[in-house]
Amino acid sequence: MTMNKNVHVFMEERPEHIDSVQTVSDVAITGLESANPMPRMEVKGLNFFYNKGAEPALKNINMPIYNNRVTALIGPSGCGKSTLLRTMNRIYDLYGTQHAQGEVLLDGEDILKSHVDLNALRSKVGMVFQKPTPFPMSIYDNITFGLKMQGGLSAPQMAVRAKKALKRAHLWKEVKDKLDADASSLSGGQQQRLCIARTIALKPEVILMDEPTSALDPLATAAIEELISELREKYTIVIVTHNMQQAMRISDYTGFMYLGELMEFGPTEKIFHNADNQKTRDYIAGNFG
Amino acid sequence: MSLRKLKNRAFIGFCILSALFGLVVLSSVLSSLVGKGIAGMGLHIFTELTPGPGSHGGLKNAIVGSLMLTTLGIVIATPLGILAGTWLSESNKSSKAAEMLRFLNGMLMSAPSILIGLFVYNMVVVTTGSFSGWAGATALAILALPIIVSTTEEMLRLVPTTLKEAGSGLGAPRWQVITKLCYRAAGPGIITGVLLAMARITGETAPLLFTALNSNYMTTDMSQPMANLPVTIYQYAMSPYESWNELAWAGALLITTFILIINILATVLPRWLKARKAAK
Repeated sequence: MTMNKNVHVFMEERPEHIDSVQTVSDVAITGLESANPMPRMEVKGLNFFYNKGAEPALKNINMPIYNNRVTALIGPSGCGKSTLLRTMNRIYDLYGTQHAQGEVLLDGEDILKSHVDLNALRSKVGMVFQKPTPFPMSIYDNITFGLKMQGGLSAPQMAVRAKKALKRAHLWKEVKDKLDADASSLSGGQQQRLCIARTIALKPEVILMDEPTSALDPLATAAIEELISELREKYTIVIVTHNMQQAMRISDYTGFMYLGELMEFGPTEKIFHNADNQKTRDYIAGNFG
Repeated sequence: MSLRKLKNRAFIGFCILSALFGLVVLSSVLSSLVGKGIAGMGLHIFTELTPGPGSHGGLKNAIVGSLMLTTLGIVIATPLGILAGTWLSESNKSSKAAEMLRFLNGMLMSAPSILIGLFVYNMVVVTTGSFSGWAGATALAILALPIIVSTTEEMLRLVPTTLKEAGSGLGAPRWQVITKLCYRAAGPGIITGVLLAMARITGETAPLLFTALNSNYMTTDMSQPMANLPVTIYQYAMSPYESWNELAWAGALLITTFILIINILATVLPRWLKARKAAK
């Protein structure tokens, strides 16, 4: 059921974006000839260092993040997929020793530049983490936390936004009678949907997800996956996942990373069934990682 | 029995004996305190002023003075301690400045309280020219400060990084992440720290000897020498008058009970806060 619906949505949407300008020209990128939508973000020549003078954790990454598509990052543990994700909203900036070189463009603007307003950036590029991170406050306050930070909304406007976000995250029915309850009283899967609702309440352009289902049971995972497929209509999503089936199920594009390098990037279909790179094929086949 | 088993039994035996020894000492202190304290207890303790030599009276002025000094000390120390603890927990772990402050804070925590008293005597009493409640509260604040600093740091370090990242990830500036998220998450622990600091300074005598001094009058004027329980106990217990001795015991029982209550609060309050939140 779910899958059919998703495919349907996908088919309907796709023709809109044909023939956008392709600026990414790297050997690793394959099969992107014509049917690609606009890139919302672009990573160009990105190197990343956890400490000054240390070996780079990311080496010369080049990849587009297409608008209204789900891009999955896969690869063995420690390959740098989370690190790459964390450059896209500069969350690494919380730690003084980490730094990035190169460019990460959002709507053509380099977000790695030092003058970028990080708080504004992060309300445009939302993030959902591996473990659900409900704030120690009520469900409603969790949703409006980011809105209050942004400012400019009246209380009734905020309530409307919160309701919309909860509905979109398929949580409204479950929580509408207990919005004042502490967020930690929700189940793990509900908490993760709350975190997603909290993020989309800000109307971000891009949502980054760092293994959002790895701490959840199969049912909760299925709910989140369905949600991601729906969210694609409005948002651009980048998801890091350990689960290759998941990448195959929900993503349109996949990047395979290995030892800090992007080995291959392309439509998910191609990466999983007809990859160019031998390493990619070995990983997909389960020969390592 | 094998030698190994024997050694094992002997070790466990010594552990039990030592624990018993501690328990016996503590319970005999408490029982003599309760026994002698109860004798002098009564409503008059709370309604009458400290008496002249040999005559009868209560501890009203000392109780009021102690409450004021302790409260003001905590009111001064809490914001300073929480902010300094926040800085420590937010600073880079390898930061030299933070390491230095942590070391100095540890020193302050183990500094003899009489030293703090002398320091405040020099800084406040000598400069202003008189013993005062302000000086007493300052000395108590300095004693409470390091306890609050270190508990705040420890509690804030326990806040998961993912929570902070989630806050920043929603576009909250750092200070909002700290005040809106970290303080909330670490709140019960920080409250415990503040209460324990309060329990600690309630019974302090040495720092008050040179600062608030003591007084036989009922005063709420912080710029005057102020009556307080610990110094009154010290004075009365050393005196040859039986009525004073009795008051000293009653005062000691009062302070101990107060400290006990704060300690119970420090354990129960955070749990209650959490339970109340979960119940909502």
